[in-house]
Amino acid sequence: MYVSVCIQCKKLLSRKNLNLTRKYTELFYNLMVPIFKRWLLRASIILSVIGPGIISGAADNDAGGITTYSIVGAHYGYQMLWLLPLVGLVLWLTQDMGARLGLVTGKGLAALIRENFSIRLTVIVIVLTAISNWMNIVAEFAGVASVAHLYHIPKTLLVAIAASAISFVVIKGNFQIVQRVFLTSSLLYLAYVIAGLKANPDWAAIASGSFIPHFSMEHGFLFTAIALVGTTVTAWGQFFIQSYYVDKGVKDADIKLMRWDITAGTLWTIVVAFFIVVATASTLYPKGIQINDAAQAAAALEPFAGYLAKHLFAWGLLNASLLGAGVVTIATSYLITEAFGWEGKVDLGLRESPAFYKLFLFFIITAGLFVLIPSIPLVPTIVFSQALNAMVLPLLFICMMVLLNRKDIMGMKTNSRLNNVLVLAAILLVSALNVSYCYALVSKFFKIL
Amino acid sequence: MLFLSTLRNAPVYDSSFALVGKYKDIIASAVADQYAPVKSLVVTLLKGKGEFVILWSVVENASRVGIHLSALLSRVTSAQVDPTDIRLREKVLDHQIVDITGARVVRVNDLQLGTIEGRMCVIAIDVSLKALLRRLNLDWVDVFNMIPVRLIDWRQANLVSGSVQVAALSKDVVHMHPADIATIVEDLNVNQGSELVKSLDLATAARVFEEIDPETRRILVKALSPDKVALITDKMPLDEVVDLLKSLPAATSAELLSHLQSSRAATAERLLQYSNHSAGGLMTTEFIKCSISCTVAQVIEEIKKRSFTFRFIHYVYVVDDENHFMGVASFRRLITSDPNQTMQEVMRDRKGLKTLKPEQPLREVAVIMAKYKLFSAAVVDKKRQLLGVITLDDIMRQLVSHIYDV
Repeated sequence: MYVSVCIQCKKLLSRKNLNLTRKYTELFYNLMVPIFKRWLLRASIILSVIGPGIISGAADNDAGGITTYSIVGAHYGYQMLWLLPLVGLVLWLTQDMGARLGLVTGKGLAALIRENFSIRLTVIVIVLTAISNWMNIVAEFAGVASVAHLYHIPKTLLVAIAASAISFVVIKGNFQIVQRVFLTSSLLYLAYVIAGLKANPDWAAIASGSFIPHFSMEHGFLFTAIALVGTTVTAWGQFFIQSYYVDKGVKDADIKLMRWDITAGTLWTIVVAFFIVVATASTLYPKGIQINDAAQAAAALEPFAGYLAKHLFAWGLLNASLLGAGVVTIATSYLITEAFGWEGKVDLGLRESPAFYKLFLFFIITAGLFVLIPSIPLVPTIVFSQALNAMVLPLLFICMMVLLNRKDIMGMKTNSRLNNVLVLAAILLVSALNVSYCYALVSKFFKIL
Repeated sequence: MLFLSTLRNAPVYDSSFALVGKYKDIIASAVADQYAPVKSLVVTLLKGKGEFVILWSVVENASRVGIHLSALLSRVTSAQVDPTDIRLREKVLDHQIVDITGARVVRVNDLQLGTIEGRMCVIAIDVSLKALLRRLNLDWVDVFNMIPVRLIDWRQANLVSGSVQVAALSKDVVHMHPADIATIVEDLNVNQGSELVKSLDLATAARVFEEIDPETRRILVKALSPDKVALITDKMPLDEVVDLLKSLPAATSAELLSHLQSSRAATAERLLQYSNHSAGGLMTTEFIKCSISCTVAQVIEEIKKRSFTFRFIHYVYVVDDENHFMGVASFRRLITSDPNQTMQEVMRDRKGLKTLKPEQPLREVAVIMAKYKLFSAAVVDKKRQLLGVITLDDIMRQLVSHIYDV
């Protein structure tokens, strides 16, 4: 009897509860759904446009990026900070140019170069870019190998796993989904921001380093400065962002959103770079540590993460390397197929272009094997690859400038004069760095003689 | 036989063997379905006097070494250039073309010129690596002749740069199978692809739209105006429209749904609830349905009136007044039976038939259809209401994409 009453009560209660709940749910639903829908609509519009800039911004902080920025901070303290805003400006300008080229012409950079310049110049640009990109992929695998070194795993094993995982995801799976995972995990870099703030940096020195240019004709300084430029502004990034915008099919009206995307990507790159430099400069530089392997670079995260610094650094580096290896290899294979007419699409249509796959596997396998050469110095390899990147840039920028100033290509949207002047200045800056480095190299060579 | 690229930087001499300038370009006139006859030669004059267009009839011979004219330059008048004429080096070489027989987009590495019926014409397009090497003076790389030469007949090719040519392209393209046109649209960039779709008639555009891969389709919908997309979707079978709606972002999908005719929109909304890989998602709602009391003659009359709106009509589905599924009658049965019989007598009763439930997954549907050797099967809900029909081609497409990953 008692039990049945209880059950009855419970039923009553629950029905009443249910009604109440339903009422509240309805109220909540009526209130929230329009808001949510509107929010979703806006988010979907933003998400559909935002992407290329942020992806390439995040991929900029790849193995090459982390290593180079760490070396900049560890070896030269705050002295090179003034370069960062300049490099950021160059990055923003050139990415904006690439995106505009893509939006107006609906063609990738490689296709435009092929169609508007001589075949020789095309081959030179493509081959140089391919070589520097290949070195970049090598750097990404060097990043993977460094992680293996940190954990005392044989590097052959980890590199092989990484290479096959990337190939599998790109060829069989959906790289775009994986890319999102990597992008989200690149928030790991926030660790550097906290580490930089917690390391009690000398803010006065940072200010003077950021605003007062410091320059030296010493070989090491120039080399590192070039690597700093080359790791932030990349040749593959130019091709990547343009192709991506072409494939997204963004309308003219979305140029504003595109600018936001690029600005966000650039800011992310530069802010992370800034804090990596600050973190390493305030922890490693005073002790005079020269970074020769990843373990020393990891020490910069100690003020924030303590004994976990090693693990945080390793996972960040692994994430960066894998994202970078995927993006750079895709971009490179794509630009080659585009220039020589063996096209496929970046998105899903990849399966139709066997040339793309052959190139992709070629780059992954050769770069992976290169890193496996015993006793190859990982850190110098990485930095060298970034410096090589900077050497290709002036040529590429000149091609883009010419294209952007042609009325028959750009119509009403040719480059503004201000834009031209700024990019010209950027070209001069990068070339000046390159030339002075070569000069320093030659004079060093003669001194040895 | 002459490759256009071999003329690069060739000096031009007139009949007195005086150097007058350098080769710049060759102009050919575009004639449909013919090898394009070469019309004139563009010369960059010496001392920066600009370019000069000379009729091809004045050209005596042309080779890598040089181009010789059969008259003095001072006697030659400048030739007319029509707006439809094509500058081969500027507009064709290194640009993309559509290879119509191969149904794909390729890049022109070189052009082959030759004499046909006494006239110099553009004969073929070289798209092979070999042509690239030749232009780079790297022929020696291919000592063993390992690299194949791939030529495309000029008549089977179409330029795609600029929207003007895309419009011209569509004339040839109409005769291709929609699936092949879809491949071309996928290969072109968004602007060109949407131009091409716009230039097709709506019925073809609709069939092409069905074949394009979802990702490209999503981008195309964004590039085309909503009105145009609405017009195209009106011509598509509803199940394909629903597939399209599913692949779009929520906002675009809702907008497109609002453009649909109200009767279709309601059905579409219902279909949207089913998952892509269930019977409900696979089925089409466009099939011939008739009442159980109809006579065969009436049904045949109905088919004659409406058959063009359906892709396939292998079976007529019989329902009672409340849309309960009663049975099917094959085409053969309808034709061979007496026109005065009612459908009740002619049809195969549902009791002997295998029907599908909307929530059944693709795998089960495929197994059932294979086991009972069905060309199509009715999808029926719990109350025996006829919801739709699954045909073999829908299953086939799904299965192929599962198996071969295309």
